[in-house]
Amino acid sequence: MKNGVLQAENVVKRYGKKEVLHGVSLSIRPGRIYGLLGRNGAGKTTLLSILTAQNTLDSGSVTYDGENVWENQKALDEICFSRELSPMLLFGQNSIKAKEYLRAASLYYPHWDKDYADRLVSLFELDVKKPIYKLSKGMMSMVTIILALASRAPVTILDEPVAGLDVVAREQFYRLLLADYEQTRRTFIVSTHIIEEAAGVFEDIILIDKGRILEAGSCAEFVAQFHLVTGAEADVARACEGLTVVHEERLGRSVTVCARGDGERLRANTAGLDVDVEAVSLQKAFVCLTGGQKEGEA
Amino acid sequence: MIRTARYLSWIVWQYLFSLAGMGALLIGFQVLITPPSEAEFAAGRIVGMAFSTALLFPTLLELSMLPAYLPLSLSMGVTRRGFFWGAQVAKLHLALGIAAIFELMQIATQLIFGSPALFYGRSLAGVCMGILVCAALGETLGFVGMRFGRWGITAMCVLIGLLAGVVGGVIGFMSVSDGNEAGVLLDSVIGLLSNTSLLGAVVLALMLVLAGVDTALCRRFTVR
Repeated sequence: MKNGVLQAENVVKRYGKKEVLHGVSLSIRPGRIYGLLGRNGAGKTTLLSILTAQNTLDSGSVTYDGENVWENQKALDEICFSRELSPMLLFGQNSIKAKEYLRAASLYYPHWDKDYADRLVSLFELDVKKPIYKLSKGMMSMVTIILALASRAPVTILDEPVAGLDVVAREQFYRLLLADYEQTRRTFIVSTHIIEEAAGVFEDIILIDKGRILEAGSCAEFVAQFHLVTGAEADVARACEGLTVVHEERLGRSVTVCARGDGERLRANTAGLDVDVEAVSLQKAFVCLTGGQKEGEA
Repeated sequence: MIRTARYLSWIVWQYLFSLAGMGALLIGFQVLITPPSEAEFAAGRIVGMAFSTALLFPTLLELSMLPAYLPLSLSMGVTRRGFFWGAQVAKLHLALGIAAIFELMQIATQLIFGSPALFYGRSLAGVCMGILVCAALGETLGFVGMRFGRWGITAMCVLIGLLAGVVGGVIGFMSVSDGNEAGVLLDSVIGLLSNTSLLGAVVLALMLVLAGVDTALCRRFTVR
């Protein structure tokens, strides 16, 4: 039955003897904007390339609409994975021009929107006659963004799309992404480690660390689970009873912890205590979860 | 397959137009520098150069095309199977295009310098098969390079060098056995190329082997 769901089940990937994905399972529902968050080397690009059959898997399965995506042209026609461009190829510089990439995309992507691509080229003031190796990192990112947006693929994946873009271009990209989403309601997966700016865009997040999915679900619900509690050590400890402390920082006699759990319970715990409670940003929650140990355990 | 064939053929057309331009330049240059008394030698030079480049270029073009366009195509959602068959169409397009340019250059030298064609009939068919094999070799080198990197290509080149040495040795032996080493060398090459059935069988077998290698390397290719 057609459901437009891109699904991975127990995906294991090894490079030589090193296992880089350890039984990853996730489900990408249609009509959502997903943020794939993870530190460098967490396995984001490997996971995305396996989801789009650009890389092999050692065990597990990836399906779209219930059909295996590997060597399945019908499924792959519905997915666009716009990956970072490399200025180098096997035999030297990547001298393929940006306009050749756009031409290839117009032939390969069945839903390609040429007018939209042309508009984006004008908007970004991209010189499409330049070969890739002569483009700046930001301009290469623009090419990948144009490919992704103009592909009009029902599942569109962007790998580090804002890498190298200046702050104005990054804002422009997120506005374009939201406008496109508003219009088409297609699924976007955006992999990034520049989290703060993107936090407002994501409806769902997938948090990957060391080849394992740590979290997958609603971004708002995820962030709402985290609280920063600051005060004297004893008060903070009492405030956090029944919550999970995921990160701890000390400044003199003051302690700041990042606690995960029910906000109502925290409010009840803190009644009469001299502690400050703050909301946590997505980036802070991400750092607390993946940034390692509590201070003092190093 | 059709999308890859269309895309790669678009690339191949660009290569072919460049090659045709180079051929025209070569002929024009020879017309300018050759006195009428040496017209026959100029024709020989042109056809000789066209022959060697007709064998060299498909190898080099296929070798450079794959590392650039295989990852690009797969990253745009093409299946490996689709790419492989599309690449076969493009390879045939390239080989036939180069053969056509070679023949056009022969005709041009005939018309301009009044010399007889060196390759015609069976020997021309042999040249076409040679071009096809060279394109297939270039393609395999490209796949080997994509899978094993530059060391893979180096090893493959050594292997091809050895095979070419054996073939060259056979041709040389044929020439010597005919008694006139220098003069009969070209005749021996033409003789070899004219043996259509033997050459056809060898080409077919070689292309099947190379296609098998290509399929194996393409089947598990990953985009990095």
